[in-house]
Amino acid sequence: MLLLNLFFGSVTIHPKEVISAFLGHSADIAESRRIILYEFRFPQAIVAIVAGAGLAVAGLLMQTLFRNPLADPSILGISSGASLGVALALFLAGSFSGQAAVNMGWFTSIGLSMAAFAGALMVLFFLLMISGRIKHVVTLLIIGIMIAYLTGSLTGLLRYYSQKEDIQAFVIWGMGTFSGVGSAQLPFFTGAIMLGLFVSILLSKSLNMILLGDRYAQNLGLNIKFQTRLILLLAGYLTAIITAYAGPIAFIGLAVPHIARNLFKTSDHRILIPASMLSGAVLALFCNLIARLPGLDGNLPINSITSLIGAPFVIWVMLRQNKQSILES
Amino acid sequence: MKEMLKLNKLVIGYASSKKDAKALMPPISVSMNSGDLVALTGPNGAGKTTLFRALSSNILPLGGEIFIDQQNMRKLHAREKSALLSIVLTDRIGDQYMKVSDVVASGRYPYVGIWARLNKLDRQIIDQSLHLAGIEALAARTLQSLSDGERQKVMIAKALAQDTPLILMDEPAAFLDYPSKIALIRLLKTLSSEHNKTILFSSHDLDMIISNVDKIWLMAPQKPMISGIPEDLLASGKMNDYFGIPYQLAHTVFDYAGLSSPKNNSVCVHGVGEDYNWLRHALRRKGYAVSETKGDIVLRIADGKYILSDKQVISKFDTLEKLTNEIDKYF
Repeated sequence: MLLLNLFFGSVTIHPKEVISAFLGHSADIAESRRIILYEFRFPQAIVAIVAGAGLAVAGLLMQTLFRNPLADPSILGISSGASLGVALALFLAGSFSGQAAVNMGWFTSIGLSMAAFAGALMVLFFLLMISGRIKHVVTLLIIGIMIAYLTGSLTGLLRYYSQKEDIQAFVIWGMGTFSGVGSAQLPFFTGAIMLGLFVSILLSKSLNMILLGDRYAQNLGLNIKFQTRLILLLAGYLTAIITAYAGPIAFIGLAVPHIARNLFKTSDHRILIPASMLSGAVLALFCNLIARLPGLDGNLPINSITSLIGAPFVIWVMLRQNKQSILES
Repeated sequence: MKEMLKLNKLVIGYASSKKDAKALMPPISVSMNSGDLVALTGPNGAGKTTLFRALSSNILPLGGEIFIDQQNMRKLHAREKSALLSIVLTDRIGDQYMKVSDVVASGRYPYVGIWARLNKLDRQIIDQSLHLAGIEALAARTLQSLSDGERQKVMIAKALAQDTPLILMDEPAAFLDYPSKIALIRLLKTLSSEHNKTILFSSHDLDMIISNVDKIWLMAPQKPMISGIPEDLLASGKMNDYFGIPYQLAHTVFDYAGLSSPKNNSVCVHGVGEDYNWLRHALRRKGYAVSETKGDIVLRIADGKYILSDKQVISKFDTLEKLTNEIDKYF
C-alpha cells in the first residue's frame, strides 16, 4: 500500500524509479520526480500511516472506555474543538486586520494547525476537569456530545461573521488532508503520534479490564478514575495532534476498531491495539490513494473519501453482527 | 475457626454531601468464618446491593470498618484488596468476541505484569478454576454464545482464578432455571466445604438458601441486620417479621436436601410441631440422620430451650445455632 502510494498520483512514477531512488541511484531518476517523491509523496504517505494508526487507536480507546461500538475520537467534541479553534483564529485574524486572514502572509497552515491544536486542547482539558466529578462514563459521553454541539454552533456563528475567503479556507481545512505536514514538521508529528501509540500499548491490560465493566475492573485492582483520565488524555492527545495537522478526518477512528475485531476475532487489546494501528494505516493509505487516483487532477478531500468508504463499511459490520447474533441465539 | 470477614459497626447508605448522609440501617456488626457459605437475604430495597458495593470497595461506607482476613479494607490498596476478595455479578459483559478463557484469565490480572503474560502457575490455576466450575469444555467459546447458567459459571471460574479467600456473589441464582440453581448451590457448597472458600451471596430464593447455607444474614429497610442459622431465624419468627409475610417450608419444593454429604451419626428427635420441624430440618441440612426412636443422642424442646441428652449429661441451648455447633463437636 505504501509503495502504491508512492507510485501513483497526478504524475505516475514508475516502480523502478522509486526503488532506485531509495537505493540511492539518484542518477536513474529525474530531479523533478525525485522532488515529488521526497518532498510530497513520501511525507504524505508517512502522515497517512501515522494519522491512520493514531485515529484508529484513539477510536478503539473511546469504544472500550465507553463500551460503545459507535464511539469514535470525535465523539467527545475534541475535533469540533479543533474546528472552533480554526474558525476563531480565522475570524479574529480577519476582523483585526480588516482583510481576509488567508491573504496575510504569516497566516499559513502552521497557524491553522496551532489554532486547531489549541481548540482541541481546550475541550480536552475541560473534559478531564469534569471527569473527576462524574460517576458514570455515560454521563461523560453525553456531556462530550453536548460540547460537540456547542462548539459546532459557535463555529457556525463565527463562520457567519467571517469573510468569504476565510470561510473557504475553513471549508478546505475541514475536508482533511494528509499533505498538510511539511517535511520540516514531519519528524515532530510522527514522533508525537508514535509516543501516544506506545503509551496505548502499555494500557492494553487496563483496557482489557475496563471491557469487563467498572466493578470487575475495580475488583481486579484497577484505579478506574485514574485510568479513565489517562485514556481520555491519550485519545484526546492523538486526536488533537492529528486534527491539527490533517483536519477532522472522520470514520477511520470509528470503522477501524471494528475491522480489527472482525479480522482477529478477539477482544484482547494486546492484539487489538497493534491490529488497529495496522488496519488504520492501511485504510488511510488506501483512502489517500483513492483521493489521487491516476486521471484525477490534484487531491480529492480525504474526509469525503474516508466517509465514502467508512459509512457503507460500518453499515455492513452492523448488519453482519446482527446476523451473527440471530444465528447464535 | 478463622474469622474471614468481619464488619465492625459498619454504616452503609448514600451521602449526597458530607453533612447529608442517609444510613440505610443501624450499624452492622457481623462476621463469618473461613469456609462459611452465607446467604444475604431480605426484601427489595433492604440494602443488599449497597452492602455489596461497600464490601467490594465500589462505594465508601459512611462509617465503621470492614476486615477481610484481619486486614482493614480502609488501609489497603486496590491491588492488595484484589487478592483478598473477588466478585461475581449478573451484569452482562464483553463484546461479541470475548472468549471464556479470556475472562477466566483476567482473574490472574492482579498477579501478572503490565503485559499480562501468564506463567505456568497462572495457567495451572486457570485450568483448575475451569475444572472446578465444570466448564473446561466451554473454554474456547465466546461469552455471548453461552446460556445464563453457563455464563454464571464463567464468572465463578474467574473469581476462582483470582484465588481469593473470600468470594462475593450478587444474586447468582437470579436468572437461572431450577436445574441450574441446583447445580449452582452444589458448586457453592463444594467450594466452601471442600476448598475452604468463604462465600457470601445475595439471594431471594428462600427455599434454596434455607436448606443449604450455613448462615443467613437477614436485612430489611431500617431494621438491624441479624445473622443466624436458617432454622433459628425461622423458628424465632424473625424471617416472617423481616419479610412481612409468613414463611412455611413447603413440601412441594425441589429437593435440595441430600446435597450435604451424609454423616454416619444419627440423632433421635421425637416431638411434633413447627419448632420440631425446624430442628429436624437443621439436623438434616447438616447431614445427620434423624430418627424417631433411636440415636446416639436425644433432643427435645422444653420452655423454648433445646435440650440435648446422652447417657451421662443433659445440656440446654437458647438457639439451634448453639445446639448444632455443640452436636458438631460431639461427633
